[in-house]
Amino acid sequence: MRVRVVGRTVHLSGQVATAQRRDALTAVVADHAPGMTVRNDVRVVATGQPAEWEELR
Amino acid sequence: MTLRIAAVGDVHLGPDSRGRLRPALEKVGEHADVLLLAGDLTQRGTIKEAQVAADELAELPVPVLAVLGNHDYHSDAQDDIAELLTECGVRVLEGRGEVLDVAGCRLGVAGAKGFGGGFAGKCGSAFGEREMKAFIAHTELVAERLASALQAVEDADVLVALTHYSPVVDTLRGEPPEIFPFLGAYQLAEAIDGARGGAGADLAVHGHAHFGCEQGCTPGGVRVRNVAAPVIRAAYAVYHLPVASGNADPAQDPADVGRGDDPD
Repeated sequence: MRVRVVGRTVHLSGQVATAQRRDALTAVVADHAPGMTVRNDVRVVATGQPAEWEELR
Repeated sequence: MTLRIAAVGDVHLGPDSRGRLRPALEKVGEHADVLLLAGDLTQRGTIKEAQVAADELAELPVPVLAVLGNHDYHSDAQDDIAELLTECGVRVLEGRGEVLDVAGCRLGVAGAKGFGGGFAGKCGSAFGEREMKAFIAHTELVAERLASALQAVEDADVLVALTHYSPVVDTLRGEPPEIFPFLGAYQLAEAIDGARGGAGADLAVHGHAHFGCEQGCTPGGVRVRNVAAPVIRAAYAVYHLPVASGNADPAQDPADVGRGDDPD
């Protein structure tokens, strides 16, 4: 996870395994930094079948 | 002839992610001949999380080989986690290797968790405080385990090194440079390059670096792939390795096999 504080805003980025974990981050940061704005840009990691492969010639 | 290898690390499974990977895993046989797991199967290394991983990985259509990662060690239950995974058919490699007959060739996979320590010119050394010496001693121990595991299976047609920590800096690009020494160690690359009497393995696969990049290579020229789930953006990455037709000949010089220069 990456956490960057700019002024009164906490920016979160990175990827987690589930939407539940992503949303929990907002709650945790809000709890620890009351009064600050939380911008949660964390994504949920992709779990689909691969669309391509790499040829290692 | 082509060997298809699927690989992923850092899936960080737990009760809240049960079933998310399973649909893609059930289809892995359509994409690959074998599945490699590069550690951090769990979030905090609990048995409860490991049970989810075991359920997700059970009865897949291809052989599954794994190493554990630092998260899997967090609750000091790594041995129980390994046993649980083994019971569901996952071959857990820690300082050992296995040879599989897949896709018409003999695939050797050598695994070890690895550890931090850093890279050439920017690494820790076994000097000073007891704690620092212990840190680097562990780095060297796991690298030696990887070297031994590679040596044990180096007569396979295709030789793959599987770790959680990175053997090179290349695949860490995107991570803060300040934490590189906690993401891998050059001693792992020395083990990979030293396989087959210095000819090296055919491929090295690792995880751990969520903000890193996928591609790199060792100082000896062995391809390295960071398959951390956030990096590959799919349930698993797939690599196709051409297997030279002469590789099935056990009398061939081990240093010449598995380099994939002459695919069918």
